[in-house]
Amino acid sequence: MEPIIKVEHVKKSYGKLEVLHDIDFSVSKGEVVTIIGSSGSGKSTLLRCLNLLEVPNSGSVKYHGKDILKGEINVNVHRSKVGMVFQNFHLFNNKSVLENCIIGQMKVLKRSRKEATEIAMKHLSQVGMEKFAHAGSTQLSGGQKQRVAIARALCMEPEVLLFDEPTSALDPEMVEDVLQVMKQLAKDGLTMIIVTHEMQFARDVSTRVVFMNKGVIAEEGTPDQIFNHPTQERTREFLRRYLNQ
Amino acid sequence: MKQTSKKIVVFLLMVLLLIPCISPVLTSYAEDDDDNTFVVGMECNYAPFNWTQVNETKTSVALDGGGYADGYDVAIAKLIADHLGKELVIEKMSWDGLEPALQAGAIDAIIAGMTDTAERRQRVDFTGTYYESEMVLIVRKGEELEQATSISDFSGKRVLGQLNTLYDTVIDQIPDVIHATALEDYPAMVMQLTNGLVDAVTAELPVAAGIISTNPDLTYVEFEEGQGFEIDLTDTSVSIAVNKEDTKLREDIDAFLNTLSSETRKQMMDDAIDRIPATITSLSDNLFVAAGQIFKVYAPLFFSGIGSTLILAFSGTILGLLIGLVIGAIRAIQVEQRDSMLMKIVKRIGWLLTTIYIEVFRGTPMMVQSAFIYYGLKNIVHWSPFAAGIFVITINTGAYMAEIVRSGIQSVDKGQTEAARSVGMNSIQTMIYIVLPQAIKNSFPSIGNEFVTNIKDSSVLNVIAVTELFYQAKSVAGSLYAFVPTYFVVALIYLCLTFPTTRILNYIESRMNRKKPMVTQKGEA
Repeated sequence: MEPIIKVEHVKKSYGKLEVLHDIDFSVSKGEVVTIIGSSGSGKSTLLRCLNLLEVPNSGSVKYHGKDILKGEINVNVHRSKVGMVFQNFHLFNNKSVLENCIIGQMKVLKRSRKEATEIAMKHLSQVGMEKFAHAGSTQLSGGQKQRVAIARALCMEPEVLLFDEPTSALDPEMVEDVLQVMKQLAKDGLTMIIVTHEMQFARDVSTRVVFMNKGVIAEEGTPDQIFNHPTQERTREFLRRYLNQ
Repeated sequence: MKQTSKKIVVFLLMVLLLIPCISPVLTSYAEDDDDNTFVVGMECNYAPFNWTQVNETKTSVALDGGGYADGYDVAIAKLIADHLGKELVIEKMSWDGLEPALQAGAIDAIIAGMTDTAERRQRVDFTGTYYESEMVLIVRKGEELEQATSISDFSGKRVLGQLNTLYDTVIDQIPDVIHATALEDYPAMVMQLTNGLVDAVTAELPVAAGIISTNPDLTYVEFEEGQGFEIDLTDTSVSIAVNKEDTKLREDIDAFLNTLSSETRKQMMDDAIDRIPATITSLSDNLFVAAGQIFKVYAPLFFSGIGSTLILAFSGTILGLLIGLVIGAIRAIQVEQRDSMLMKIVKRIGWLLTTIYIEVFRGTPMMVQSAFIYYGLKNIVHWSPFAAGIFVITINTGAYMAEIVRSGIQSVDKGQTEAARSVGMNSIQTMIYIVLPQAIKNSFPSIGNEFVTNIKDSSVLNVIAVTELFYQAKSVAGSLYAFVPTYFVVALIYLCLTFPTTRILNYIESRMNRKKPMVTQKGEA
């Protein structure tokens, strides 16, 4: 099956610091990929390269075979098909919960306000936030904000949803709410790429786990392969440190 | 590249949107090359030749910004307008603004007690004289100088004349005189004399007579032949200035002046001196009482000034904010590594041009900008001082707003932009729907502050005769010869405008920052 997103030979550096060294990565429909690795391993940068929030210095980023960096497809069209959920939520502060969910639909997908509102309410119920539709986005708790952010991304009906450490900025009691929502999305068959430190969650929901180390993909495989039978010493080392914490 | 051209199109659209906001003001002004009017410029501050009064009389002519003009010049102008078969329009302007206005075609003639000199003839043409007089010195009553018989009696005394006139330059003929720094108008000069800052003021006879009629503490001294100033008789006679290209008008006026006998002229001058409104004698010594008296009598002028000031401040702030949003947004765009060479150049040029605009308008006084822009563009846009005033205050405010908006944009969390881009919004949609609303909210205190500043700073537009509050105050002070109580009144009025405005802005700000009430819900953490 043709991958939805495929990146090849991607390099990214900030000044002299090379964060990604020659990465090949792809995701196909129905996959739930978790990217794990220690801080600074380049996992967030790789995720942000997938929707061009970071532009690689070299290599290619293809959406259904069309190279975005070569302009074969407009980057905004690509992004409207690839949603993103951020660590710090980034709800639009000047908009209510509902408006957060409809602005993209109206401006990018050119949906009518009525249609956009219906879709928004559907996804807000899906994440259990429909009662807050008219609340200001700055008055919610972290867990609530993140669920709204997920609904906002779902409203665009993306082919792939990217999660950049979605629970790292949450108080512990909120983490489970958000993970529940994500588990349900995985069960519903949504294609997802998740950068996370939640190992149990990665083990439970992933179809594939990618372990990154020092800007390269060190090892990848099924959760069983990675967590129970890692072949690389650095993977074992990482898991040992993580599971002992 | 596609996004680049989109950005440019949106910018141009925004600029185009601005034009209709301003253009009604520009075009509403009756152009001076209208053939049915005879537009005459004068100070309306030089009794008995010309002055401003509050009440309409048989001899007065209504002024644009409120109040009425009257005097010998007005009477002459009326007769000439009748002779030409045109409607008389009087434009009140400062002495130094008269010649540029005539050259720029804003007025048809200057009838303002102006003397025909070779130096002025380089710029404008003059008709024959319409009044002849002699030069005298105004002094305080009851002092030794009252008995002076020769100009040499003024040796060692402080003598003051009007700026850019013969009445200033002749002072040097007095041996060992202390030549005081010339002032622009007679009310201010008389003020110096009554306050004892100078000992004498040069003036032509009718002006001196007019001043004495409203200032019982003053008198004037004339000199015998050979004891006075050595001047040409033509130096104390006054003529009408017309545009150099308007020979037809000059000939028409000369033909009319020839029919006016010197007896008639003298009679008209005596009548004018009698008509000078005498208000100073009734003014109280108590500052507060005097302020009350002044406000009561001149309320219509003050209110018209308040109206203009508020319109200037408000439209200047709103239109300036629109400019600031466009310029500020342009300046917030950063040159990125992946931009094409062309895009980098376009962005750098945009940055350079907006920097020049901001530095020029923030780095020069608005007073200078208004004079430069008003007279400089007068021939091209044919605008009224008021339209020019709105234009100047708008682009001046725009320069400040641009920096306010830019720092407002920079204060918006970068994550907001990333979130908007990640749902597929382009950079312009992101700017308009997400970043700018937050930037405006963040910079609301500074934006409101600009409005308050504009209420006060619009006062400098009086130099191009915009009839805002300070301009009206100046003419009230001028016709009353009462500076302190008049400016006291005006200070209070400005305070009454700015203080509530500040309070209202603070209230709006606190409302904006107050969180919306939490939505009640059940079963939620």
